[in-house]
Amino acid sequence: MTLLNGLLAFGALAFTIPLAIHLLFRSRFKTVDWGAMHLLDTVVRVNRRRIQLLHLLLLLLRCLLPVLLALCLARPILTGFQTLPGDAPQSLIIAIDDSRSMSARDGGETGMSRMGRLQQALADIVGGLSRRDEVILIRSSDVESPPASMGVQEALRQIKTLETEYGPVDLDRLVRAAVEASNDSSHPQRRVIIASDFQSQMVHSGVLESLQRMATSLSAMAIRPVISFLNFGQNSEQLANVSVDSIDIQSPAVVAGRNARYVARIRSSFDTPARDLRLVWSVDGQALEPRTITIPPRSSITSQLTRNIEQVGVHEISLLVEHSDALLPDNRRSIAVDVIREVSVLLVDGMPSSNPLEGETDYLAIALSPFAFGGQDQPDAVRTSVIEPQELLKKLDEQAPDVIIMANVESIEGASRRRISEFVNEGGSLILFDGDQVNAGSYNAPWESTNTSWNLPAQLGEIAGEPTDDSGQLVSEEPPPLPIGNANPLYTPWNLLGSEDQRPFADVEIYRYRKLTPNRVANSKFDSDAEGNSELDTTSADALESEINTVTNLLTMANGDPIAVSGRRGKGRVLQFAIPCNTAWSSLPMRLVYLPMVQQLVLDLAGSRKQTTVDVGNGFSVALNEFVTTVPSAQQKQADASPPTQDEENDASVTYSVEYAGEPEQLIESIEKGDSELLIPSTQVGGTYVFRKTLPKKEGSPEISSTLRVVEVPSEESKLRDVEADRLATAAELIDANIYTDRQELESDDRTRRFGREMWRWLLIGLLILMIGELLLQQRVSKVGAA
Amino acid sequence: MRILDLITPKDLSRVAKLQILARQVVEGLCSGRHRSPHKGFSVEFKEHRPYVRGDELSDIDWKVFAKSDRLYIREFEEDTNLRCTLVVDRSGSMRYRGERSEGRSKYQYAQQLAASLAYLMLGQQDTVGLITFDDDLRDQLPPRSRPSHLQALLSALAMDSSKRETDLGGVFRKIASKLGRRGLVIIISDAMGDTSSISRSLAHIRSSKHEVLFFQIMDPDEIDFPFSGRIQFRDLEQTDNEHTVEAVSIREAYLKRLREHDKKLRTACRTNKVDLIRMTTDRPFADALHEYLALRRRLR
Repeated sequence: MTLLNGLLAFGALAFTIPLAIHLLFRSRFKTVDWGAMHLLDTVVRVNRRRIQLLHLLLLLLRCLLPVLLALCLARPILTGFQTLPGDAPQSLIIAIDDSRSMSARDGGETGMSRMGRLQQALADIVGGLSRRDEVILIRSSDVESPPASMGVQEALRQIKTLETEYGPVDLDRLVRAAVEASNDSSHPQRRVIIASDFQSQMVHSGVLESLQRMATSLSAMAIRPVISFLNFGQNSEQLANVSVDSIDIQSPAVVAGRNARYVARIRSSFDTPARDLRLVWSVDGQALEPRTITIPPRSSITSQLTRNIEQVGVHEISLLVEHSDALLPDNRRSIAVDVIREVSVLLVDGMPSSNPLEGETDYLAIALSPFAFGGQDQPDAVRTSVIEPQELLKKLDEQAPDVIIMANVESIEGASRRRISEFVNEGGSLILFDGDQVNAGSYNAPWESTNTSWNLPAQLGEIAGEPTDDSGQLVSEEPPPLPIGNANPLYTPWNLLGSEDQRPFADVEIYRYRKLTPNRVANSKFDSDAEGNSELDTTSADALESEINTVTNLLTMANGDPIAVSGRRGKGRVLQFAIPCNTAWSSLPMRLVYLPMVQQLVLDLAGSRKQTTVDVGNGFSVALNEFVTTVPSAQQKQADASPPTQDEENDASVTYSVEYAGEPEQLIESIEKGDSELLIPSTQVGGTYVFRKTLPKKEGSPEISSTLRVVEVPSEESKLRDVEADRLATAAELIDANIYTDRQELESDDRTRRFGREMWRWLLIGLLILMIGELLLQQRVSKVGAA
Repeated sequence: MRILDLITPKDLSRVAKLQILARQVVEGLCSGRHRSPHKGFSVEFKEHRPYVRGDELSDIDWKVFAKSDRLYIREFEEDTNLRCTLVVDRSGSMRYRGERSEGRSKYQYAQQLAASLAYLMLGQQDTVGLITFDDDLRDQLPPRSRPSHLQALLSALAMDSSKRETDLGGVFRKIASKLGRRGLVIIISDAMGDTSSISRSLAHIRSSKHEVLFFQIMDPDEIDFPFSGRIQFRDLEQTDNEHTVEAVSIREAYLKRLREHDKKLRTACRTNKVDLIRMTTDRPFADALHEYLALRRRLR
């Protein structure tokens, strides 16, 4: 224990005053010759001991009063709590949750957001540090970056600029990052503050397990930091909020010039109906006609937009709900849509015919390009070319189709086979329709290309439903149709044909089909060095590769036999039908479902694989050939078809830049010659990222082309819900952390830890209690024996 | 020793006017203001009553017998004088003299009270006796009605108080045996003793048909215990008994003890039909006596 005003402690000697008075008065008394000693004798005899005790106690209290007063003025400090000398420099590691929920305005009348309060509190804490102290700031949005130590002024500046455009973060990640940063800090006195609103998604059971494991490593640390949770989130459930939780594209692919449907889900956590909300859809920042909606209490509604985008490229579709609520940033949500030009489909007809609808692919060609067939001006989403099998190589040299459909082709061998194999490997899509000409053995053999080999999703077997007599001979009489089963409800294109209950394929009659046996191990790496034998590579990378070679049943017969199966092969996909695409074995082409089915299949296969909308925190890539100038789609298509000029390819002065979240445009310098894409390894803030490619021209202004990506905060951040107090307490207990809701409490504890605990308040309280006690005791002394 | 040595002339004149009327008829040797229960040779006829066997033949009213042929006894009512014995406590505890009692100790107060009563009664031709006591009987003067008897009484009263302790119970029992015929016994004491013993003694006296008045003489200090600071209390009855205490710290306990003592004493007196009158030495005793006699008159 130390004393701040040590000299004043000598005042404690004043205790001698009451003692001296006591002793002095003890030897001085007045004598009375008393008559009624008969009465007094008993009284004195009975109460003598008690009176003596009370007097001694009174003397003690009176002696203690000046002692306590002197100690109080001397300001004693208990240093038992002190871990290091109080003036030792310290390292303060602050892990800040900058997720979107920290934007919630729960400051009552002040209207301050949680982040505002956090900034204020941290500014106070950091502002109270000395110049020798160091600060390490860790943001949940940038938790992977190596921590940087900084001075107080820099920390204050960074705290002021904190934003809240990040997604959910797990508590254990924040704690781990902070503890690791503390290991690298300079001073032996280390404090970790986890500043967050501690939402429920932050402390799930996995987090608790992780913290438990962390506790072991913490206890093994040579210098263990003092961890504190500073909680800014309380009563989240009482905050009323409207949020746009999602925007989904209902169409399998968005084709330029064709309508696509977008559905947004809007949720309200108000206890009363949220009336007259203005919904504003916008495309590429151009606001559309606003709509007014009402959301019932604590429920969700959907809003649909059908929109035709003319230009190819990535476009931003966003929805804004104009309403004042607790969390404003989630009132707007965007997605990036990759609008593709029309899909090129190559139809390989195994049995062409000059008569209408007698060719193998006639029904297919009509279904894929209905407007062209009907002579209408409206553009079709799919452009088809019908060729014979022997023309395949030549055609593939001429154009690069998105999808190749082979209908009743007997077999593909030689160069054509290798070419198709490469086509699929590199991301193309192949659809195989069966037929009576098909040679199953040829199809079942591995499809080999230069360095890989793959098998079809399903092995082709016998034809089922062949009209035979008892001896197995084919008969001319047509047997009754075989019952068809269900469509796979998880396959997206089927969903657009009608709901599962409506059974869109129910009226399709199938008379014959090929037995397909799904090929579970369908791909193997081609090893050219091992005497031409292919072998299965069992390394983990290949195991991962084989995972994507799954086979999915898309449509089955009632007996469970697959009619359509699909599988990923290389970068592309292969879809196999057990029936032909004409009316030879089934009535499918004659049914209403045929046209949308074929359209959706092709659009799904040829649709964009680009990840144009990502959750904040994740990375993404932008292909360099994706940048488009703002020219109409027809011209663009032409431009795309033409090979790049030598000037363009060799021009080293091409620059790429990105602009997002209100930040100034930044030049991307990490791109090197030969790179095919811009890689953004991770994102820290949500918003629209606009990438620009600047191509200087020898004459005139440079040509600027652009594309974009949308980085969104997951909708979990909009569901404001505090973690249960018990759970948070458990988490804190696991790592010996303390929970604070008040900055002053935290600082007070820290002062106690650093400098010791000031005692004067307790002594003053003790003094007051003693004074009251002395008064009461004096009263008591005068009433001895009265009870 | 003269009466005026004990009582101021003013007090004496007030006392002289007082009329003591005993509540009950007491026996007396000579006629006075007090009615006698004895029927016989008095001048005032009371009533006739039928003759019963054992009556004196001389008491028969022969005239009535002649008229009515029945035997009647003539009865007379006769006034007798009061036979009073003053019992005065002169123990050590009676020597206490507080500041508020005009320089009078309790014993001095008792002396004056006894002298006043004696003078009053002798003035009425009542017989007055005196017994003083401390731990035992000291002076004993038998009741006389002669005016010259006052001198003897005053001389006995003028004796200084002793330093001996009181044993009220034991002394009262001895007094009871000395009292002789029934009469009025006036006890003047501070009653500082065992109340149960006092009660038994009073019962003993009352069993002899004596009327008893108990004047409890107290100093105001003994009633409200006004002391403060550190006080050494020395016993007036025993030289080796003393207590040095913070007076304030035992005041409440003392007052409680006093209340208990008073309560027991009142109970003892009430049980034995003894009139208890507390007199404090700061009050003129004549006033107190006047009030008492007025009360006796009302009760008559």
